[in-house]
Amino acid sequence: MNQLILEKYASNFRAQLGYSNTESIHLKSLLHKLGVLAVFRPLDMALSGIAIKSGDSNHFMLINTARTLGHQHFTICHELYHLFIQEGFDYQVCQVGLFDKKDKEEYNADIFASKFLIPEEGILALVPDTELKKAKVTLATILKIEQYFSCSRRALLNRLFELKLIDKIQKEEYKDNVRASAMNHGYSLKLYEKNEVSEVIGDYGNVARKLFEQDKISETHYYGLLEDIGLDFSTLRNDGDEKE
Amino acid sequence: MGTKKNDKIILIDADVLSHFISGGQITLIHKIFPYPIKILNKVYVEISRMPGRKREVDNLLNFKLIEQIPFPEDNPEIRKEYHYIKKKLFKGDGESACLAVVRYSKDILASSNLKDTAHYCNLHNISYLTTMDFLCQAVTNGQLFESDCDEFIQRVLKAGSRLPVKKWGEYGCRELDL
Repeated sequence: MNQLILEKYASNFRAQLGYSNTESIHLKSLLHKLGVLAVFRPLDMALSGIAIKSGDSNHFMLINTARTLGHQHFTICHELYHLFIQEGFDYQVCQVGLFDKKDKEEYNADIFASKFLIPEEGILALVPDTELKKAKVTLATILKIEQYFSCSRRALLNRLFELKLIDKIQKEEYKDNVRASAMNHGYSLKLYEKNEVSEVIGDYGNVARKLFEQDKISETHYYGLLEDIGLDFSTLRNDGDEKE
Repeated sequence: MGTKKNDKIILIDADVLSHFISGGQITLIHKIFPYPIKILNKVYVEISRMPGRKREVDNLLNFKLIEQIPFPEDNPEIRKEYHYIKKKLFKGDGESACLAVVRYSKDILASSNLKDTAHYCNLHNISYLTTMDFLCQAVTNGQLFESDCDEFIQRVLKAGSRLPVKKWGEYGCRELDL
């Protein structure tokens, strides 16, 4: 798919969801809004995520939290392409950010993710005019942009290079010592670290509860389903309160 | 009530045990029917993960009021049925194991009061008991009074579990053929 078409899709998708092209998106809130069942879990493998679509309304994604938070955010946007933009999609196991042209839809998903997560208008709004004039974006600005859009350094450098706001030499220069550069400028390192959280976003728990209350599943099965998403009930007492 | 001297057992699932723990009558459960009560290891694992249940079930096992038995992994027929029930009938791990075992062992199942469980049991001629059947028999045996059953029901419901009635008087006991 043509890059301009993907740019248009990314921009339209933002507009549909009520976001301008300059604002940062809180992606977990967006997943709630879209009704996506999203499972965040650390996986002992290199994959970034998985997307599955069943019918028009069942959207599932798995995000590997053993990757950095910035990478996770890019992965969410990549999976959103599969679930909401790609036609005839059913499932895909993804290693994102490779921009591998041999796999057409994976490439499209990477491009879409890049444009959706870090829109051009938003970047331009954050780059001072002096830096725009010289096409020489400083490290301080790069840090400001990646913190604002909560994206990885790699994803941002690719985007800036594509927009011709940095050259090849700068791209190489800025790609190393990411954590140190953030610390030197007083930023938190959260974005550049694996958080390894286990979390589920969506109505999975509500559906399980409903099945139990309608006597369609047993109480034990209900607890088992909730355990499957990482909830540990053995830490509760009989009366449901936490143990001291 | 003494234990019958045939090989039949009551294979109990986590929900019924959990009801008797919540209902405050767990020490009575093995005296209601004349069959030994056994629990599959898969059910033990499940109930141990429920809020506040592990210690009470461990006590039952330690005092030999119930006995833990392994799921027969080496029986291909039962294993196949277990996987079928779990995947196709969308049952929990312990329930699937109990149903698969009693289908072939012809033991008595003590399980939650779900329509599809009853349907499966009827289809395969499996005798089954629900929590309410235990209460009915306990009343018949003179081990519980109606007021005890009311209190039991209230305690179970208050713990967030499900029972078919809110008061003992609303329940009609069925005839059991064990």
